[in-house]
Amino acid sequence: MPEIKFQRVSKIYKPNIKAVDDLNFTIYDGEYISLLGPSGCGKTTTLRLLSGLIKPTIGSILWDGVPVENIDPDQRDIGYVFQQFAIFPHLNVYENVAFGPRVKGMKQVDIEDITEAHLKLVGLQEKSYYFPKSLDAADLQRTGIARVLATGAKTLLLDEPMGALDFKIREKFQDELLRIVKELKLTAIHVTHDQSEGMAISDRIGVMKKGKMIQISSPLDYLYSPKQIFSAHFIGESDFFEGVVVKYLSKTIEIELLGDETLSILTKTNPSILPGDRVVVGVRREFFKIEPLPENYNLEVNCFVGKVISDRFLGEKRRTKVNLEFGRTLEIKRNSNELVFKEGSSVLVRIPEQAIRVFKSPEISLIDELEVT
Amino acid sequence: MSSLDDIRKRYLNFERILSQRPIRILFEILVIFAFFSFVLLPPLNLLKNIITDWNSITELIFRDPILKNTVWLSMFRSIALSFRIAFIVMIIDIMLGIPIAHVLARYDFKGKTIIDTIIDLPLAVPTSALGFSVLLFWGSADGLSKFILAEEGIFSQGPMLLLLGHVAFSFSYVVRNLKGVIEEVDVEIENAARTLGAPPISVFRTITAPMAKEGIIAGAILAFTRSLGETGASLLLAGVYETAPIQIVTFMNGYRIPQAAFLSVILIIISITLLGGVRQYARKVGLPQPKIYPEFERKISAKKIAKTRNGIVSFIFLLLVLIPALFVIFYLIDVWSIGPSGTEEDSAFFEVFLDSDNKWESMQVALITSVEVALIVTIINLSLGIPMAYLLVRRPYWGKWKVVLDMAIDIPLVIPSSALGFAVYLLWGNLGLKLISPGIWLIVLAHLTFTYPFSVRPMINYIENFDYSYYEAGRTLGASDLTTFRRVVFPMLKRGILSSAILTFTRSMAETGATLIVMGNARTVPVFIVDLVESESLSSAAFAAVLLIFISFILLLVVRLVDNPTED
Repeated sequence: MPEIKFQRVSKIYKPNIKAVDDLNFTIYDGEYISLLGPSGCGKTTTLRLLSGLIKPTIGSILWDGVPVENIDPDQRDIGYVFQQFAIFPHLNVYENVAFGPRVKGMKQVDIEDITEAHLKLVGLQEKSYYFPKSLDAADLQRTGIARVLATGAKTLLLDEPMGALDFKIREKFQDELLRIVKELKLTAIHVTHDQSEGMAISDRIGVMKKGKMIQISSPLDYLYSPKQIFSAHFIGESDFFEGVVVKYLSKTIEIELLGDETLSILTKTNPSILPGDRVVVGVRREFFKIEPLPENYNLEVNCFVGKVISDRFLGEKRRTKVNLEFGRTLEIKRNSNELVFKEGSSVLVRIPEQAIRVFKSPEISLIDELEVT
Repeated sequence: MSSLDDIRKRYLNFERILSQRPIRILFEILVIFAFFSFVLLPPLNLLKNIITDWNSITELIFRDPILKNTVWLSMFRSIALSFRIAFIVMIIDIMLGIPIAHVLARYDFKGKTIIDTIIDLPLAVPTSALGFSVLLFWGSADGLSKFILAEEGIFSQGPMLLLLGHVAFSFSYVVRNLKGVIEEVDVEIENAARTLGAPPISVFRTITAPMAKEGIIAGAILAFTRSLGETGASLLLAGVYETAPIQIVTFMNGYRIPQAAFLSVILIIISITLLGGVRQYARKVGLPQPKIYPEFERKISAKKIAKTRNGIVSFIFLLLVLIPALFVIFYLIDVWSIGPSGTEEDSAFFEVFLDSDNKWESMQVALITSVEVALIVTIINLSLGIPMAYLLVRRPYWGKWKVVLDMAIDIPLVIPSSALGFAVYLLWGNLGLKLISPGIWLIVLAHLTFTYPFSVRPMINYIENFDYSYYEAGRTLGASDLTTFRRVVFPMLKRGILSSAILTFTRSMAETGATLIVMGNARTVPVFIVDLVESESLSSAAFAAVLLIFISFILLLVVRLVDNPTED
């Protein structure tokens, strides 16, 4: 069972289009990794590079230290699960699952044993003589998973495996998939654009943008310590403020935000940030606290005054839009049982210190940095 | 048990070895080489011959001591006749074809499937049988004349009959093509134009037609080339006139090789430049459509007028295409037991089965030859065509070669088949490589050339529509390239391959022009029909024609079944 290492891997299509750009990361044995990112970010290309269906232009992929560029997909011992299933329409479920063992030249008795065992694993033994056209999406994907496992693959490559499934069935399917992967001690690389799916299922998440790996770390890291503006933006929802570091104290820094009015914000120090640096402050939308503006209010640190523009109920959540006095509009996510604000009422928005993330200003503009296309 | 497992394992390993890149590329080079030598080499060789013998050939044609340039003048006349006919046929086909194709593509009505099938019927009639049928209908006292109580045929053999014959056999191809083209235009876009207030005619003129422009032009090219290259029907309809393909046959029969070569080259060059030009030009030039006449177009879009128009078009279709194409069947019924002269002596039954010259036996021989040739041609062309199509769609490493190959594949489509047949004879026969003398194998070689595009083009289409992720699934599940092709791609393309095979088969069964040049003493059924008509055994000719129509019709039905699966 391998440890897979990407070493300076780039895939360049003709006129200088870098589908993936200088990837360097390691997938450890038995890990469940999700690759997340906007469409066109290179996540599927990464998966196809792993499968051998395409070859890197530069760099190499090492499996337990051995480069695999020249190994064809049929010799790689991987299982590729397709978004649109790619279940062979001219073969029934049984024959689809038996395909791998057959083309690997196994003995007839072994083929039967393996096929039946894997049909049982995904719960399709009753439907083994059905043809693909009479199966629903979930059963098709179950066939797809049984089919790759029957080849004996220890590494699963899942290309949006739930992308074509109904919303309601996805959660159940996630559980099934995770159970199988952990039970068989497989390594799985799962491409998805659904962040909650990624959060729910993976040991680590890799966020990609424009062919580059922005961050690869555990789901909780994204919540509490995103390393890049883009990953803070892409996983969950955040509001961002641009500003300049004006004071640098022993435990806190003071940042002056850009706006009609200057306000300061205090937060923990960060070794990479120096006085005078231009920075971006990110706050996750559910971490803002909001309360009616008290009478005779004296300005406090990390508090802003504003007026409610709208307060809408969105099912489990409530989304409150507040126009801050210094000229910014905030979107705040609250639980739906919290206090309801009338349009136009004055409020105080509090930012808890531990919710504040400070990033260095990007070289491109903040809008470009946050762009997801 | 273990030995069977062992054999299987060895076979898979064998496929794995064959799947290696160098071996695969070697195989692909062989496929391209075969395409080159079977399909492209004959016309190229013909060109080379003309160039090397330029002086002696031109002397024969332009400066003959006795005939002066009369040979050239008669060639010029035949070429001019061919082009005139092709041009008019193209215009009639498009004018009649567009309304019919539009109705078939856009409206649902009772009996649509039946009409759709009726339109396709003439496709099943081989051109020499169809030519004979048209001759009977328009040109003999037993045809239309009988119903309007005229003594003789309405038209005598010559340009008018040629025109009617060519419309009859090319029309179905054009409608089929146009229907596909119109279906590809998104109906929602037409609906958008309707909701914006445009009457149906304006919608067609300003929206559908410009969007389907290239397809319509391709349809026109199809009509033109089909007419230009046709030999079998023309032979029966031309009388004393000669179209260019017929003249090639005449030259060949008189063993006037240089003249035949020269005329073939002229036809090949004109066809290719014309088509190349039209294709280039078609992309750049828009159809005239900027002005809209709302009042006028609304009036002629009115339901009543539209219905009248469709009625007239349908009537013309019946009169020009369907009835003439199938008339031979009624004729055969008429002359089955009592012949045209009113006696049993020239009835179809007597002539074919009882007469002393034993036509039934020679007909059987011709039929066997036809089927043999068609079968061999189909098998060879599919085994060359499938890898070629796969290569063109799925092998990026051929790069620029693919563009060249892709164009080269269509070349036999535009060359009149008698010119192709002559080129094949000149290359392989006793004047060229001396490998094969006229007869069944030379027929096979000739048929290989013009059926090649018919087997490759649809295959390219099927492979392009094949979802490549099935192939990728096969590979990632551990199957080698070749194993994946055998276990996944091939079974999934089965329908496409079968319908491609039947198309190739019917094309080969129906061909006359090239066969006439290369057949030696062998006879195929279409040629046999021409022979019978020329010896004025009309009843037996009708019998042979109906036999051929029947076989082709069955094959056409099979194609329709294969192409339109009834499952969900």
